[in-house]
Amino acid sequence: MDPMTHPYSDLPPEAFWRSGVAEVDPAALTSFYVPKVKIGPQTRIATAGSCFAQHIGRALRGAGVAVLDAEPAPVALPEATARAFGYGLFSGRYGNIYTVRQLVQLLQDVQTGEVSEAFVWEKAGRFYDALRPGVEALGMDSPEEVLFLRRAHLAALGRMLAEAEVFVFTLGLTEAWIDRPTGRVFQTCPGVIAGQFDPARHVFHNFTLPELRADLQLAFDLLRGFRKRMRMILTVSPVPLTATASGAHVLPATMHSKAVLRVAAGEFAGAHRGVDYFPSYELVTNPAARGRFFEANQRSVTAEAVQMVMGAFLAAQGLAEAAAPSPEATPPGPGEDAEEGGVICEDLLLEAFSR
Amino acid sequence: MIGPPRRVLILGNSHIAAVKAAHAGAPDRWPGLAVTFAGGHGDALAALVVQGGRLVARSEAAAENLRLLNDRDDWGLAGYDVFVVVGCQVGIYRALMPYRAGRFLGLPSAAQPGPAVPVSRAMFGLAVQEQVVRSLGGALALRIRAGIEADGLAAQVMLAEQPRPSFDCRRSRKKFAGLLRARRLGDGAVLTEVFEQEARAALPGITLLAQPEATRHVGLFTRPRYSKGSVRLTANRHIEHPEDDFIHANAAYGALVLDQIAAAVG
Repeated sequence: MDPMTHPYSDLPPEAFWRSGVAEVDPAALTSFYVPKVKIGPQTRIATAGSCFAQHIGRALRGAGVAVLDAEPAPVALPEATARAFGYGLFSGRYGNIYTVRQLVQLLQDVQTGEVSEAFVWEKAGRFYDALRPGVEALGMDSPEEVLFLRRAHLAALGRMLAEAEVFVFTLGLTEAWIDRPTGRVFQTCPGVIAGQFDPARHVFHNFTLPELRADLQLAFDLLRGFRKRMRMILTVSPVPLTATASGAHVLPATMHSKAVLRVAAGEFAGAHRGVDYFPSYELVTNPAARGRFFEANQRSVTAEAVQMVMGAFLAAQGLAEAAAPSPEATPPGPGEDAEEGGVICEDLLLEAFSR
Repeated sequence: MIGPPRRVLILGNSHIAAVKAAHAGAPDRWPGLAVTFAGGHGDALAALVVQGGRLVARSEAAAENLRLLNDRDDWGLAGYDVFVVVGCQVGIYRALMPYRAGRFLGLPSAAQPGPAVPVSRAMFGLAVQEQVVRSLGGALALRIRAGIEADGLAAQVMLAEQPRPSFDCRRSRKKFAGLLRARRLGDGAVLTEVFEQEARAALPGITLLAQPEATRHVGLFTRPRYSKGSVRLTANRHIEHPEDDFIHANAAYGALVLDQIAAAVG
């Protein structure tokens, strides 16, 4: 046996940090993603997840891919207003789904069609769907109206999920607020958009890796209950936490959260033939970029980064020729505190509470 | 009435003809109003903008149409105490557009199956506002309001709603299918209320003169006696619309609008 031969001696350049990362333009990385779940222009895709996932749906639509929309804006509204009402962001009007548990709950709701007045929040005489409080910017007239619209929402999602061939989900957070009596996870902490925070009822929870594994499995099983051979593409949002309620500094809290999400997504994809992982998180947080993929606030992802990530995804999927993504990552204006880079992020509202 | 009559510029598309006819038929009935008409066919008034304190047409085609109908194509803002935009698409149809696609809880038809999808009342309202603001009349009234404010003038701006179609439109079921369906579903009263509420919200600083109550039929229509004998917008000829025109109102209707204006002038 040649004493100079070992497992590293014949590896390609991308297997080494220096030639694969340090000496490569971070906007031009190659060979980092070989799709397991292939999509084409005719593939019917559903998208969901944290605010970063909004870019994915937009880029796919821009590339001519058949992104499903269960609830298109039904009345003539300017695009910005429609988006503020949760239209056109994802394949349904569920707003951002930050945690896997939230996705599981939504899918279960779609399955059962059950709605409950217990999840209606009130603020200044207006009423909000506690499970997607951001989608009705002006609130609703009554709890009955909230439930009326939620029933229609769930029914529309049921029809959409029965059609979806690929479900693209971006994992955003591990931290969440749970309603103790029911175990329901909220999209935002009660009291931020509407509702009232009750420390005896609303408890903080930081999902663990085993919980994430179980929830991903449950979500996948539920999705396949709607369509037998549905496949999944998982990504992890590179956007750091706006705030943490874990008691830790927000930096380690973010790193912990992203690490857990990354491991859960990667392991789950590795264990299932019908599940893929796309490394958008790695592309944006690549140290070789020296932070250039983040805006000055070190949190918002730049337009260049969105274009780079989605361009890489589309290229790997053989869809890059169809159309270039248009990230619309303009800086938010003074009144757009919940909209960043053209995406709607409820968690940005937490920033208003920082001192 | 104390003091000189208020100088009123009434602007409008074909619907202004009803008001013109009423005024021509009884010019002394409104002694408090010194009325000038500025009519424009079709969307000619869309070209009317405020420049240097005057309402002027920014296209030659529109200017020509205005001259044809009014013998002039510009009006100084300072020359009037009141501006009234008549018709110009600001009517119940602004609520019917979103109604085609969306239903909100509170409409009698909300729970009935159909192609329209459930939407919130708030979003439906925003859609109506958007329709009003983008309409010929809404946009014109807002431009005039902005011009008055920019010039530091104190004139009032009003918008007289476009009349609903005559109830006789039942004879043209295909053309008025949406309206007739809304009536069949019992949605007329709620749609009317929503339209008026949202039109007021969309037009800050502008007085909405809603269709006179006496002329309405089940919320969505005009009583035929206020439509029959309606006339075309011309310079000074009397040409009646054909019998199957269910869109325009007549001089009796126009007289009620002038009554509303007289009552609303400050």
